[in-house]
Amino acid sequence: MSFLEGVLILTGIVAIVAQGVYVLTGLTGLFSLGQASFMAVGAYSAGIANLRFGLGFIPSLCVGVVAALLASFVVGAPSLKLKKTYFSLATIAFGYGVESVLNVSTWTGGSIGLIGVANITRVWHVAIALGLVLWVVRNFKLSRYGRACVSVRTDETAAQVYGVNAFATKQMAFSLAAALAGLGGGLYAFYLGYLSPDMFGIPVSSEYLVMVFFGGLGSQTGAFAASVLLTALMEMLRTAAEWRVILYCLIILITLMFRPTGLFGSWELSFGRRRNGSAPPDSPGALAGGARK
Amino acid sequence: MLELKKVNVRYGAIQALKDVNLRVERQTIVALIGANGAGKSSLLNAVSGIVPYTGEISWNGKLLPHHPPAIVRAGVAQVPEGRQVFSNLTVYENLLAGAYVNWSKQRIEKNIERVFSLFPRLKERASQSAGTMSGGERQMLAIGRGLMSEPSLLLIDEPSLGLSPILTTEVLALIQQVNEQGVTVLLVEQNARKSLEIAHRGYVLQNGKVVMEGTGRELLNDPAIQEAYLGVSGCA
Amino acid sequence: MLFQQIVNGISVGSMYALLAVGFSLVYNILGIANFSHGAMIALGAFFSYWIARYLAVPVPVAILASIAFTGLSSALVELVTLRILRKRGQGSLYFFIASLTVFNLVTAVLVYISRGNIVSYPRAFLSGTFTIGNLYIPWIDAGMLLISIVCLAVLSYVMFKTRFGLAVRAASFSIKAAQLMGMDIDAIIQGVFFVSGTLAGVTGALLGVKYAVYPYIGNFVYMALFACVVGGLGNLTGAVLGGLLIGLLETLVSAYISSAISPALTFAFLVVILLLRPQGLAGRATEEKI
Ligand SMILES: Nc1ncnc2c1ncn2[C@@H]1O[C@H](COP(=O)(O)OP(=O)(O)OP(=O)(O)O)[C@@H](O)[C@H]1O
Ligand SMILES: [Mg+2]
Repeated sequence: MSFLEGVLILTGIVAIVAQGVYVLTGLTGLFSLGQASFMAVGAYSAGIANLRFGLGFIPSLCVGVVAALLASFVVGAPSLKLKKTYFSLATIAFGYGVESVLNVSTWTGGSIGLIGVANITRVWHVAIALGLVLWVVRNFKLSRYGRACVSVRTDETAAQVYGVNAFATKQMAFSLAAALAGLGGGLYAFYLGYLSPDMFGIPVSSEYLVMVFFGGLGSQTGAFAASVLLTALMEMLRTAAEWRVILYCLIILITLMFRPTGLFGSWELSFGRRRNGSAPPDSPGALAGGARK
Repeated sequence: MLELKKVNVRYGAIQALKDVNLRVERQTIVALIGANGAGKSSLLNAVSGIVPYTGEISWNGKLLPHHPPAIVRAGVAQVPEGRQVFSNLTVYENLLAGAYVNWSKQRIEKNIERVFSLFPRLKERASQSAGTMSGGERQMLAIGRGLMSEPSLLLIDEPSLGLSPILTTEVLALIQQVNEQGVTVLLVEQNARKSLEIAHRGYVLQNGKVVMEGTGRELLNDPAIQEAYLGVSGCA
Repeated sequence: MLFQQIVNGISVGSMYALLAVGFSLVYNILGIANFSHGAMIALGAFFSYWIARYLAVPVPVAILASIAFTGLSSALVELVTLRILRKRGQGSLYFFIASLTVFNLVTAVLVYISRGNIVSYPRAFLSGTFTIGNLYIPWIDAGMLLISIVCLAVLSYVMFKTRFGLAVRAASFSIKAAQLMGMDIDAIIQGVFFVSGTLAGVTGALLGVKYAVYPYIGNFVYMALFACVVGGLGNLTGAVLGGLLIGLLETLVSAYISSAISPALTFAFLVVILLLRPQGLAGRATEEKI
C-alpha cells in the first residue's frame, strides 16, 4: 500500500468519525470527549470478531458498529437526562474507563494491544463508506429528526413544549455519532492490522471536537473539510513528528481566536442552495454579560 | 440631570432602543412605562453600561463612560429586575456587595444603618441567606443594596414584580421617601398607574421608541395611555 | 494494611480536592469546564522540577516559584483567550474548546521538551516515612495533606473574608448583577484564574514529587472533574469531599483489586452517582449555564 493510499484511508476514516461529531455537537449542541473511545469500542470489537471468531470484513464491521451503539446507551442513559455538562463529564469518564479496561483485559491484548487483524481496508471501501455517511448525515440534518436536534440545541425547554422528546433526540444523535465512530474504528482496525489502547485516548477525542469547531460548528461541509485538511496536514508533517501536534494546536487556537465561527461558519455546500443560519449553539447570554466592556 | 441623546441598543438583529432621547431632572422621579419587550430594561442597562450602545448618556453634564465600575462610582446605581439579589450570600453580604465601590469601613457601616432604618425587616434577617427570603423581602434588599453605593441617581427596574398590591404601594412609598432624601430616581414599572402617581414626569416606550412624555398627571389623564396601560376601558 | 491505604488515599484525595476546588472556582463563574487547568498542573510539575534542578534551589522554594508561575500563566490564558472571546460576545463554549486546545498544546510542548522522558527530582524532598503506632506514613503523604489543608484554609479566608472573595461569590451567582454593583468583572475573572492556577500548580508540583514528572501529568485534571461531579458541580465543599472520596476509592481499588482497572471502576462509580444523585453527594442543584 502506497503512502498516498494510506493518507487517503486515514483521512476518510477521520472524516467519518468527524461527521458523527458534527451531528452530536454541531446539530445537537452536546460536547463529547468520548468519541475516540467509541472508535476504540468499534475497532476492538471488529478486530476481536475477526481474530477470535473468524468473522469476515463486513460482518466484523457490523459487530463494531453494534458494539458502539450499545455503549452509547450505557453512557447516554444515565447522563443525557441531566444537564449537558454532566453528559460531557460522563463521556470523559467513559473514555477513562474504556482505556483502563483495554489496558488490563487479556482479551484485548492489554497494553500491548491487539495484533494480527487482517489488513483488508482499501481506499474504495473507505470512499464508499464515507459517501454513504455523508449522504445519511445530510438527510438526517434535513429530516425532522435533524430539526429536533437543532431545537434541542437552541432551547431544550422550548423544544419539549413543542412536543420534542429531548432525551430521545439527544440519545438518537449520540447513538448515531457513536455508530459512525464505531464504523470508523472498524475500518481503522482492518487498515492498521493492530490496535493499542493509547490510540484512542481522551486527547484524541478532544481533537475530533476541536476539528469540528475548526470547520465551523454549523456546517456539515465544514466538518468534512476540516477533517480532510487537518488530517492531510498531520500526515504531511509526519517527518516533523514532534512539532506537528504543537503546530496543529497553534493553528486551531489561532483560528478559534480570530475566526471563531470556524472556517465555514454555517455555510453549506448544498446543491446550489445556500443555507446561512446564525449557527453557533451559543445561546445569547450563555455567559451572562458576554460582550461587555 | 440624566440626559440620553440618540441612544441606540441592538442585540444582533434585534434593535431594542431606537434614537431614544430622555431627561431626568435632578431630585425628581421619572417613570418609564411600556409593554413587555418595549426596551425598558435595555435602557436602564445602557445607562449602567452593561449593554453596548451608541449615542450619548450623561449625568450632571458629564458623559458617562461605558465601564460599569466607573458608572457606579459616578453615583449611578441600578436595582435590577427579577429580584436579582445574590441568593448565595447573606443579607448582610448583599449589602456589602452593594457597597463594593466604597472602601471606607465607616461609610459602609453608616450606610448599612441607613438601609436598616429604611427596612427594619432586613436588620432582623441580616445573617439569613438571601435565597431564603420572600419576594417582598428580596425586593427590599435589592433596593437597600442599590442605596449602599450612595447613588445620586437610582435606576429601579420593576420593583413591584411579584408583589401584592399592598406591598407594591409600600415599596413605591419607600422609593418616594428615598427620593425625598435627595436621590434622583428613574423608575421602570409595569404598574403604570401607581408609578405615574408618584412620578414627576413619565415617558412611554413602545418598540424601543419614546412615543409620549409628560408630567405624571398628564399621562394619567391621557385617553390613549389609559386604554393601553391603565386598563381603563373606553366607557368607564 | 487497610489503615495504611486509607492514609495514602486521603493524601492523594487531598490533592484531588485542591484541583477540584480550583476547577470549581472557574466553573462557578463561567459555567463551563476549564481544561487549561490540566495544563497548569503539568506546568507546575515541570517548573518546580526545572527550577530545583537547574537553579539548584531547595525543592520547597522551587515549588513556591512554580506556584507563582502557574498562577500567572493561568491569568495569561484568561487574557489571551477568554478575554478576547468575551469582548467579542462569544460565550463560554468557545472558551471550552480553547481551553482544551491550550491543554493539548502545553502537553505537546512538554512532550517535545522532555522527549517523553519521565524524570524525578534531583534531591529528595519529603522522602522516607515516619511511624505512628504501627502505621508507616510517607512524609510526602503527610506533606500533601498538610499543604492542602493550609491551601484550603487560605482559600476560605480569601473567599469569605475579603472584598475579592465577596466579588467572586457575587459574580458566581450572576455576572450581570455583580457588574451592577460596580465590580470589575474582567479583573475578578482574571483573579479567579490566578487563584485556580496556583492551586493547580501546587498540586502538580506535589504530585510530581510523589510520583514523577512527565508530560501527561496534567491528566489528573480528569480526577478533579470526577471529584466535582461526585461532590456536586459548583459546590466547593462538595469538591473537597469528592476529591477525598475519589482518592480513597482509587487507592483502595489499586491496593486490593488492580491499579489498571481503577479508572474503569471510577467510571462505574460516576455512572452510579449520576443515576442516583445527579446533584452530587453534597448536593444543591446548580443552574445550567451552557
Ligand atoms: N441579551 C439579549 N439578547 C437578545 N435580545 C435581547 C436581550 N435582552 C433583551 N432583548 C430583546 O430586546 C427587547 C427589549 O427587551 P427589554 O428587556 O429591554 O424589554 P423590557 O421593556 O424590559 O420588557 P419587560 O417588561 O418584559 O421586562 C426584547 O425584544 C428582548 O427580547
Ligand atoms: Mg424588563
